[in-house]
Amino acid sequence: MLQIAKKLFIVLGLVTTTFVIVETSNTNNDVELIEDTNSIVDDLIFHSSRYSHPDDLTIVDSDEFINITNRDEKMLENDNFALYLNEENLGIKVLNKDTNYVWNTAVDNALAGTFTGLLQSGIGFEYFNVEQNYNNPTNIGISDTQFRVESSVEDQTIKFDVNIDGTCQTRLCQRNYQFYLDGLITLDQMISEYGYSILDLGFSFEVSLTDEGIEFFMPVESIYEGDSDKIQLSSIIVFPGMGATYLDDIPGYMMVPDGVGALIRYEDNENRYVRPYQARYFGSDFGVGDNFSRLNQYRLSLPIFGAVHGVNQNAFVGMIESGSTMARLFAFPNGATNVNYNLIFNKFDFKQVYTQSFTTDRTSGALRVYESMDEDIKINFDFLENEQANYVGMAQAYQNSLIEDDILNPMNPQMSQIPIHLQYLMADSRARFIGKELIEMTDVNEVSTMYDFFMDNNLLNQRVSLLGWNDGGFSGHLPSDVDFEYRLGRNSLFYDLIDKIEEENELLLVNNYAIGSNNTYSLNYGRNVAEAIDRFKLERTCEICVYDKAYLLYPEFSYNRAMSDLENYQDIGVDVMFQSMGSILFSYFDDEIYSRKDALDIYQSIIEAYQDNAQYSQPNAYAFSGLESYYDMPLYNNQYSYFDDLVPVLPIVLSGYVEMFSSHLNFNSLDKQQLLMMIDFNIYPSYLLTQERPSKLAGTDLESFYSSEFDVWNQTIIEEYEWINQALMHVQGEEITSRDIPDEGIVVIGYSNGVEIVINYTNNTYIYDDQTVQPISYLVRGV
Amino acid sequence: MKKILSFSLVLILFALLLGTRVNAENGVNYNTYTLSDGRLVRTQIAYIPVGDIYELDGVSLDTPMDIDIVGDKMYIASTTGSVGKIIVYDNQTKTASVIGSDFLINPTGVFATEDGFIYVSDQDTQAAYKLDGAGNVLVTYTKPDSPLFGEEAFKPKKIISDARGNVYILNLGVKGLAQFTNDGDFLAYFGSNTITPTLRTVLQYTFFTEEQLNNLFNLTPPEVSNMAIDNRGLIHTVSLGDGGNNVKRLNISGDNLLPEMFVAQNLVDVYIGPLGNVFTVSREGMIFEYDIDGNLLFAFGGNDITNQVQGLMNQPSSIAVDDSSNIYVLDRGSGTLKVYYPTIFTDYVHEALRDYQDGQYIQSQEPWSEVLKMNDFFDLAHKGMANAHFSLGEYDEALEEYYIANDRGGYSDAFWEVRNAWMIDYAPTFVAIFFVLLVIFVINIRIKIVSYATNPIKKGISWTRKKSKIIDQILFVFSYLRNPADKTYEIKRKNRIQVFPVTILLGIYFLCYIFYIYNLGFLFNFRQIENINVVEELIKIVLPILVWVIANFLIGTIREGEGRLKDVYITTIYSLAPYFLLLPVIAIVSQGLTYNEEFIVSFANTIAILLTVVYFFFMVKETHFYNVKDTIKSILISGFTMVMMLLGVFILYILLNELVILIKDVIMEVFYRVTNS
Repeated sequence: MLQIAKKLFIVLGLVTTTFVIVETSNTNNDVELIEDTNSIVDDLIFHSSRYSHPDDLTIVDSDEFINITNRDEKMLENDNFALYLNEENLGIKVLNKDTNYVWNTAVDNALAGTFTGLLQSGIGFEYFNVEQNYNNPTNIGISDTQFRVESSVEDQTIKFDVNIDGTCQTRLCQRNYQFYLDGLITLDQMISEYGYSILDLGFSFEVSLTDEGIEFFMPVESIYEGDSDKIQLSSIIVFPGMGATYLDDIPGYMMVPDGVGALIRYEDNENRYVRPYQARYFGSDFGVGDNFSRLNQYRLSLPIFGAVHGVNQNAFVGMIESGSTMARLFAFPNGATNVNYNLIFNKFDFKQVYTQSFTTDRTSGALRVYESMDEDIKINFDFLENEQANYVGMAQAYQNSLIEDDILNPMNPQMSQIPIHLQYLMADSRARFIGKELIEMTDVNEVSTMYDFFMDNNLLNQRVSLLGWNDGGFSGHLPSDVDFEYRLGRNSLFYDLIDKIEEENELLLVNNYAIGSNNTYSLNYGRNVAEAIDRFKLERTCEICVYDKAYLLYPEFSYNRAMSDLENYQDIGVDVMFQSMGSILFSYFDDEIYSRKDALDIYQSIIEAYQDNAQYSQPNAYAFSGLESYYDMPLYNNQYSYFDDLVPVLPIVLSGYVEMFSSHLNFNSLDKQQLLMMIDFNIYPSYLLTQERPSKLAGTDLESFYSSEFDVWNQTIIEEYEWINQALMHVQGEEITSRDIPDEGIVVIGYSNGVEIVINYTNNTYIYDDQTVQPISYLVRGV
Repeated sequence: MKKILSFSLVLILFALLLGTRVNAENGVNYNTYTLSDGRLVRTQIAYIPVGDIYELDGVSLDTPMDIDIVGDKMYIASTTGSVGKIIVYDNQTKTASVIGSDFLINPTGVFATEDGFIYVSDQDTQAAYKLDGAGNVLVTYTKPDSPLFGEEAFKPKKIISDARGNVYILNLGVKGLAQFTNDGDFLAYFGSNTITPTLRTVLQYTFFTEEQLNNLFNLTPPEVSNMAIDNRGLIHTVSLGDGGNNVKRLNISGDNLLPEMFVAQNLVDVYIGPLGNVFTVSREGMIFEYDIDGNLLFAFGGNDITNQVQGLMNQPSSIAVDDSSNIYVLDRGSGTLKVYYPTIFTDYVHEALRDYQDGQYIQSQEPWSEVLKMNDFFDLAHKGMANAHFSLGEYDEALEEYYIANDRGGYSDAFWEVRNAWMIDYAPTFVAIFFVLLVIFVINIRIKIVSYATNPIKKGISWTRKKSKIIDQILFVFSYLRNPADKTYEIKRKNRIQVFPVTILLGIYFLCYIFYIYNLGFLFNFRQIENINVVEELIKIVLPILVWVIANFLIGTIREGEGRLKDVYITTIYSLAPYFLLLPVIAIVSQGLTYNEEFIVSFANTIAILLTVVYFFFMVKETHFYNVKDTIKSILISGFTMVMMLLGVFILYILLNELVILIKDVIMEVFYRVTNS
């Protein structure tokens, strides 16, 4: 008996040991990413300028307020504001009667090295000395010069006629200037003995007081150059001291609509930043070889800017109504160019110097001047207070002005679920022994099948766009006529597809009328490719590409081609997605020099003609009129080292009026963090799809589309869409009314229908108002 | 079979500003690239810049020179110019301590070990130190007296130590690493670079006099700029300007274990990551990550001397990587520490590599497919998937993946398997055909049944030859090859052949060549099909032949050759037949071969070339009716003439080009000055 029990026991022991060993050594087949949380990096991520940060809500001490001195004379007044003028430096102070805060367009007693003169003036300018090889003295304040001004008041407007006679380098010269005016000293004496130099420039401008703030207006015809063979006016600097603060004396920030939006907070930068922020609105001017934007990926797509002095206390937003095409926005974080002030202002360039080269390699040459602007300058400065005094208030102020001008119309969401943008790449091409070989990635029937698949999976609200639908495929063949590539399917199949999709959704054909290539149909290099103002053709060469040339096209040519195609699009019942046309603006030469404004007028006539038939990819503000969908919404800005926060200024302007779609999420390597950002900004998802796998694109110019296969993406699209939809379906067609950051990595967005979305970007659970928000997730409240 | 690809920054900074296509948008100011098919292609953002750090726990970084990370601690050597210090930052407690500020001046190198010893090299005190955690000097390394060391001053730049405690110090100069024992005794030099002899240096050595040799500057090997050690104890060095061998992994004897890699030319630092991945940073601010075998995973970054843009660098001085694969780069130009963290994509790649490097191919399949899902152009992922399929016996899928990954070795193995399976499947058919052929052969010995098939063909050919002179003369090439001497006589004296059919034959040669280029089996064909330019190839083939014909004829007239221009032309083209006509055959055959049978292809190629050379020689001899010695002379002199002719045309072209540019410039200037007063 004992023997049997012993044997049984041993057997049992062996069996269990085997089991245990086998179980514990079973390799886990799940892909578990080993996530070591590294505290220094985690801290850095949420403190970085890739996110928004909690505001410093300190109340600005009234001792810090700007004082109205006895040099300031009250000129205008209404219920909300009182306007004072200092005739010595044309500085204008505006008192906000509700908050008692004073805004000044100049800085009293500025200590800013070479910038002192500019900051102590209400207006500044720059000029060219033609005789000294177009030497360009910059940043000159009116108080640095000997000027005469005549002002008159009419209604709520002050009109100034300014005559800048000349500049004095020394005090002696300045003292003797009055004697010169009285006729006691001759001009020659002034020049030779006291170092006086003549400028003889003049301009007029008006400052009006409105219910929201002030308005600046300068008609371009008022610019007067006494002796344009010697001195020519190059730029006007409007209100250089508006919103200026010293180091970190006042808590607050400056807002720059760079990309999606950025804030530069008022902190002591300890001289770390050498250069100020400088950018032209609406991107670089390729026609002039603009180089400031060399490092830029994102543009200033809105002509607005602003500053907050005391968060939720006082702020202003400047909106440029006219003259933005040739304006440059400057924002100085303190310490830049050794100026300890935080500044934000605009320079309007009336004339610019360029190099006319005489050699084929575009080196050397003579300097020439051209008139870059023939527009009047008109800027509205709205003063915001209390809950409106932050970047959300600024965006809303701009939104209101667009609504008043009938540019934005309320969105009418047709379905309860949010729309999704699905773009199908149909064909591209690559080089072959002789000629080019078409690579078919998705044909008509496959698009139809994929569309049905998503409809069956409850993605009922779709915006479908086709890429490479045209004869020859996508690369190198745009702008294309409305001519389908027959190898992708007969025309009748295309028409059937259009009818099917247009029944409940929208179909767009992607086309590009602004940039062409050497294989574009009916493109004449000599006549249609645009020339820069120095008459060199605007083209880019890419030696490693299949289509090695990209050309900027004359706006007239774009207009002609677009107009001739308009009816064709309407006949078959599709819309166009314009690539590039709403986002680039350049001056050019076509028997004479045309400015950016001239190009803008032509583009705008295309935009108007295509009012109900076109949508845009990353358009600038001038293309917003009648815009229903905004594609490729930027989610970031240029990430300059002095940017402190990333804020969704552009989405707040458009939320509730325009559907906004992101750029393709196929290329997203930030996983849920990026999707959370889209929920944060109220942006809808967008994906690129092909039937074939992307490695088939090897050797084409689209190798950067490295992930798009339908079989790989279909489930992910449905899952990601659902996740975003569950949040944003509650706020379709609503404006964003507030955005608070209670803690690093936590955002609370409030909408006009009372719904609140709480976003938790961090890896830890967060308790907001007794409700739990999971890590890397969101919570919808008030539904 | 990796080639040296010298790194062109222009390629990287090529950003198509015109925005015709949608870019991957993750708010980062540089593009990230990986290597596909020998070229750089865009890929997802791999690392995101998180910010610039100016100070750690209140301690300013001044001008930071070197960084090392061990476990949770970060060691930074920095200097203000006159005072140096080592900052020890503890990640757990987030506190920093400063050591060595009382005796260091310009510490440019720091290295820490697991047991807490810190090695510092200081250029200006001309010594290196071993310190303990509190900053007490335990050992000082100064200039050795040993004659092995040489005459240079001792200015230690960088320092590391290995598991046995040996200390390696990089001194200023080209002698490599100076190896010391832990106590400070100099042992030997280790890991210096060698000069690779080029044709130029060989010629210089052979022909230059003593004096001239002394005046040559460029006989020094590339300088080692930095080094690192991995967890297997192998030392890695990076150099300035050593071509594809800029990054080396050294074994005990100082030999390089890494193959030629895709590298930048001016590498500033190297570091080995937790998976054995090699990270390097170049002077231009580009960061490269390679896997343990030297395959490029990611390349990203860029230069910004204005310190405005996040993620770009001014003057990188050192790189380090922690256990979570976060990258830390010191920028002495802006005095900052820049931190980059990996994205999900990079995490997947690392996860897959972890399994793959351990040989767990099947397990790596899932992370690799995640990687491929995010980027179908990631070659290494295709290779990984291919290996996984291969291990699972799925040879057809493996074949497809190896093809996409351009892995010819793997493709060869997979193809062998696929071919094997195919042959086994069709074995019965093969045997049946073989038997039928055998039967026919046996019967044919008695009854000539084969002639029933071949006779009509022969009749057909001779009929065509009679009907069409052109085809007749084209097919004459076979007669020529059988009996060159007699046929040459026919050509010369009897005007047997006209020029036009032979030109068509030349066209046929070109077609054969094109067929060869396109259809040569994947394993043996290293040309990129998309880059083949018809005109270029045409010129490559036809031009030398034509120039040779003219040159040979001209030389023939001076040297008593009998051949007329027509004769030389015809016979030259005929004599090239063996090579060109064999090309299609080789191409077709190569489609079915693996690397095991590679000798067949190279053998066939050699035979074709040899045959052609022989025929060519005899062609010259017969056409001009030379003896052997004169034939050789004629060939050599004709060759020389060809070179001279081409050179002449080339120079003429350049001069004409300059003239055209000059005229264009003058016209432009006149035009502009007139129209714009």
